[in-house]
Amino acid sequence: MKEPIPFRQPGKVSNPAQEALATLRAVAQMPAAKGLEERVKANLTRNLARNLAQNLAQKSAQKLPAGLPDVEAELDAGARGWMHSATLRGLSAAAIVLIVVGGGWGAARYGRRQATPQAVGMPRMAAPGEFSNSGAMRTPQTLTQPKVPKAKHEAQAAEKRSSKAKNGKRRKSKPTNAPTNKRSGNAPKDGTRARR
Amino acid sequence: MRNETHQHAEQEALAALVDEYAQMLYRVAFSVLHNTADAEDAVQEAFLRVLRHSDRLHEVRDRRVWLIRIVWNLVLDRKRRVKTRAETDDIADLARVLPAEGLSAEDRAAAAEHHAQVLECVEKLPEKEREVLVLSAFEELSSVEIASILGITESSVRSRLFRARNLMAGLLQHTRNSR
Repeated sequence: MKEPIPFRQPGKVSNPAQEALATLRAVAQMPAAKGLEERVKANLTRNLARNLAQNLAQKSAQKLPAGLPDVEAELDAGARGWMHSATLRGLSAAAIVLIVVGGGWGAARYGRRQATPQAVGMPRMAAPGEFSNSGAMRTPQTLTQPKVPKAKHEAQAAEKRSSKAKNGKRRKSKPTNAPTNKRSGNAPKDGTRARR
Repeated sequence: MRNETHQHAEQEALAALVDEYAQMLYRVAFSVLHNTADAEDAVQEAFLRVLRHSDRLHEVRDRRVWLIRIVWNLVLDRKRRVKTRAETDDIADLARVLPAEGLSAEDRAAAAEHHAQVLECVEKLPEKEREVLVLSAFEELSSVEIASILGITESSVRSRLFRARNLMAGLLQHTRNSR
């Protein structure tokens, strides 16, 4: 280690940056407490031993034959809660799958059977003390009737009949001195009919 | 058998690293944390990290710079996270224990006050400038090595050091004028 930098009075040094550097160098040369290396090595040894123990435990766990569950671990996990055990988690998942598949199969197997009518439905009769339907029955909506046009000669005959009937009625009802439909002297000369 | 031999060799290499660099790593940690217990914790943590990556130890080219970088990152992280003690307490304690050989009691007190002033001004510097200034105080570290530790270029180290010195001069001058 280098010799510590001797302290100089602040006023005697011209450059303040040099003073700062001198202080920082003094800090940088501060020795550590005795036995630092030993303490660091002891800590490293402890950690190394712990890592080795963990590795050994992992290796011994891996040496179990494939397919056989680690019973102790499973029991321990089961004691902590079923979610901590892989086997129990697997079993519960299988149970859920069985329930879902079984339910679906049951619906497919029995759900398609059609119900046969056992009795004819009759309107319910009102019990004494209840409101009755007053004999009202629901009538289903019917289609509007199509309109068929009449034949031509039939239509002309019907027109003649109706005009004859009108004329006959007029002759009987009209008085003899009733004004005719001729143009009167008061009628407008522009040819338009006078309003009645 | 081969595995055990390999592990034994790794342990020996690690022990050699501890013997060679523990003191220097402690000083680097102490220059940032200003506290003996924290600095030793940082060194312990740094070597534990080395232990975790001991299988890649042979890949490291410059082990000294590599170790300093580990401890440097650790102490910066610790300083940012843990603020249990007041910084001024640590600085005052440190200023009292800094070497001031051959001085009278009066001069010793003046020296302690001066060191405390300087360390307080260093703490006021911007982070980048402060880091370079603190590392430049280690005479065994070149500017190339400082650049490697901080992950910057050598020219950046020089420019930051220049700025840091100017800022320090201004801060010290201002502190003295105000007192």
